[in-house]
Amino acid sequence: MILKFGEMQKDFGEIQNLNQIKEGFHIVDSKNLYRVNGEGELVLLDESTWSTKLKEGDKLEAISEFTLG
Amino acid sequence: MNTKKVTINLNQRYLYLLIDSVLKGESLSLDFLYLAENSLNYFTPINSFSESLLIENFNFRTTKIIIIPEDELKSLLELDSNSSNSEFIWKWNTKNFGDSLNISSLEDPKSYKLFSNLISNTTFYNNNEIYSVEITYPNSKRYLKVKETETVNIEEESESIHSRNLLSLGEDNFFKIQNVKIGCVGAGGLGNPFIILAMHHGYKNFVIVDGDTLEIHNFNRFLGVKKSHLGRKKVDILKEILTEFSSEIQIETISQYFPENSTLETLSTCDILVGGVDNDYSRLQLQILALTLEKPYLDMGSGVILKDNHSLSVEIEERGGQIKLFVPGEACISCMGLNPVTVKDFNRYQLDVVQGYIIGTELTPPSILSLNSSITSMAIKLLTDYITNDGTNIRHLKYNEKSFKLFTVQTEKNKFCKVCAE
Repeated sequence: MILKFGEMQKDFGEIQNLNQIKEGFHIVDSKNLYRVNGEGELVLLDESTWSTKLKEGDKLEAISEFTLG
Repeated sequence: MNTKKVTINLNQRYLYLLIDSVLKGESLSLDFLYLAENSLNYFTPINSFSESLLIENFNFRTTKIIIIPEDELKSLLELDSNSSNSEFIWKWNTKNFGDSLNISSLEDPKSYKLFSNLISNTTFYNNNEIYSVEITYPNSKRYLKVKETETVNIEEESESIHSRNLLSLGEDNFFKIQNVKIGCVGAGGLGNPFIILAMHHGYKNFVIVDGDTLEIHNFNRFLGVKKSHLGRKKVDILKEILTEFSSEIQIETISQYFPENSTLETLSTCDILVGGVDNDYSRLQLQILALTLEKPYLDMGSGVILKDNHSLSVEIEERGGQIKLFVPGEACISCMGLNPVTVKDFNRYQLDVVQGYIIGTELTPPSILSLNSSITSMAIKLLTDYITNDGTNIRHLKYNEKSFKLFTVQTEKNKFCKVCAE
């Protein structure tokens, strides 16, 4: 599966888990991964649902949960 | 006898007279009218008159009405069309204001005639004791509407303070937010600007929970702070700011840390919970409380994450925040991305605080008002949209301040969620 992150694009072949994508794009593990849908909205990818949500050619965003106040 | 003053700005051809607590049978005595040309300090009396008007046909608590003699109205309209910068100052005395005076006779037929005409062209809205009147002058196609008022020595001033909010929200929606009781946990970097902004928006019922005292390093992001506040409880300072803003604000403060038992009991009386906390442990506990009480929970978080754990140089990895709105029956903040497995327990959190709680660095993290005020502004908008049911269903926003990107995040309830799944 081809995915895009920032200026990068990569063919991951068959994806096994989200960490594979994070490692491929050098994204720190603590960040959440999102796909950007056609309306520019983010869709959270988590371990239980990513396989059904992720689409070929998706652009990804990686953003932390901000915990301070 | 009470004296009240209202500034009426004619720049937009609008007139507005706010009269509080007018009851059926009560009379108002209008004593004199002054005209000020371009300056509030230079008054030229254009007319003196004395009128008594009978409020006869309806009983309303707070209303906006225009009371003006017919001939004066004509001159005002004429002047309005010729001069866009003129302002009128009305002063009037109210006789036994607030009392019910059972006046049954008309003292001035001319005024009554005008008033009757105005009423006949009036639209009434009845919304749980908020009554408003929009008036058009019957013989003119030009509308006279609320534009601007300034009141002095009026205790029930909410509508005056928020007249611009009213124009934006409408009275129905304004009534809704005025009747929401917000329970905000955290009165610091996010809690403080959130409460202050909410106050300015027209929210007026608050419970605020925070055990912290104000320290000098809080001054960069604590709105309304003064030197004399140093060392005082944050909740007490907020209470002072809010009560000085408006006497109508209802605020209860608890100077303890959530989730101590006393905070839970008081928060349970609120309509909506708000988290302006600085750790995921409290965030998660607030979510659980909201699930238990079946109440909405608005969660805010912000942060600046540095690249190097140990460097003194400021190389920013991420700078931003998120706002999440949990609505009972919908996705919780864990469904929206907070991983409960990584949340530290409270003891671990307190240790982090002692050490200068850390994200990505061993230094106390940066925290700036520009970021926190952006997050809280969006949080207020999200909350108000939800309360006023404006049709938007946004529950989750992510803001990347580094790139000025704001994302709407789709939300859906996760059936495997460790926090809310049944």
